[in-house]
Amino acid sequence: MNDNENDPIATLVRLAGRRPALDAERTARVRRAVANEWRASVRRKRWTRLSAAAAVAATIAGVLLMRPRTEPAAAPVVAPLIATMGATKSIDWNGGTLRLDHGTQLRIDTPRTATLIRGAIYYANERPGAAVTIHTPFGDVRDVGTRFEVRLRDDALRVRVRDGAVIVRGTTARAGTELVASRTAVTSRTIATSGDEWAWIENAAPPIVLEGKSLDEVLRRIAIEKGLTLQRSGPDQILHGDVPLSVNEALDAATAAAGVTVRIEGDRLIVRGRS
Amino acid sequence: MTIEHADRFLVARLLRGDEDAFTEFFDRSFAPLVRFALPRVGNEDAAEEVVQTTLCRAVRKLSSYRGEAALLTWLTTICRREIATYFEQRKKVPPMTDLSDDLPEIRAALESLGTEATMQRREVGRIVQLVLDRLPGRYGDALEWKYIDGFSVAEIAERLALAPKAAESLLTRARAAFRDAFTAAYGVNA
Repeated sequence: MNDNENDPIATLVRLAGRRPALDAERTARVRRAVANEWRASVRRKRWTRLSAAAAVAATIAGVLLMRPRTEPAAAPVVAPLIATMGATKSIDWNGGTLRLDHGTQLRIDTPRTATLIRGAIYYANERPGAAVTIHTPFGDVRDVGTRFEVRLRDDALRVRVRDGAVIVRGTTARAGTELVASRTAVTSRTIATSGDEWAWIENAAPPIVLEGKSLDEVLRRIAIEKGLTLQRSGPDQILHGDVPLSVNEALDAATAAAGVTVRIEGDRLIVRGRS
Repeated sequence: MTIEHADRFLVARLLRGDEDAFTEFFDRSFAPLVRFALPRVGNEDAAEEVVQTTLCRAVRKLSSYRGEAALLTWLTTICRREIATYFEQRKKVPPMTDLSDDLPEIRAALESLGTEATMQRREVGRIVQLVLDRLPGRYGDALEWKYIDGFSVAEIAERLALAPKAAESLLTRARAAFRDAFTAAYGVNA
């Protein structure tokens, strides 16, 4: 092969110089995010392909066995930055689930502290003594065993508490409270803990797998995700099915398999045996 | 196998959930997309955001890739839309950059130049890098190792885990692909 000075290809490549290398940290960060999106997409497609068959079988014997899906990826102990663009994301963090709304950037600073750069997060942790702190430009949000949303806006920070309590700049917000902290003041008001404003959190929930769980356990989890109080009667039973399901899919599958009816009234999820 | 055929095969593996296919997909597309986006958005943070959105969108709609163009071309089309969205959402004006690979009239002007001496060295360099990014497989890397690093065929073979004969053959194909791509895209004979 001719690679002497008169070789035009050699000359052009040398003239161009090496293509700039990319920052390894950025590359790893994007790789993680895209891989998560790709895996979720593959799972969704599998679910779509198989859902028709599952629906038929559910009317006969409950929920079908299908290919398993992995639980949400565990967050690294210290991840520099987690970003979401077109999709929500749910990760395990400090024993709870951390959900990120569209267009959110969050930096995990330590195993128990994170900085919200933009967008909104929701954190749910039932484990006592696992308090976390979210830093924002408008102050820190410190939880004391709870489920809460932190949304960063240009002019203020909004914190909505679904369960337990959080502290923002010395003001405590309990369940059913919304705090808005601007640069100069913190105000609070009472809010509903379910409804459309919470929908993104339900949509970002980790998948529910029914296999081996009791009907009661699944319904309680669904009620928590929807911010509702479970009210049910009738015997319990063990459910089957390896398919990872969204909250609404799990509700449909579990109630179909158990032969019970379900309705939502106000803030109650009411489940009854078919008469 | 043509590039488009190889890309269709790669996409089919991705749709099946093949982890190795994802690694290949990401390794082949991320750097070229960043180099495409960076001059258009003006800073690395924005380029990262735009490319991440592009790739996330692409993996969600992989089934719509028909193999009518190279995968990187398809991704670049998505990336171009994401860049426009990026500026629309922020109500910003894109930076004024010289993007001759994007503008037919400048491409035509390049074609008319004919001789290397009359071209701006920097612009030619950028075009060459774009062409290297769009070559299949490790062709771009192999050409850089050969002509910039001065590696021998044996050293390139070792890097690619190939026999020396196979590496030599790959370099020949890489040169041919480079010549074709450079000529086809910009009308300048290499």
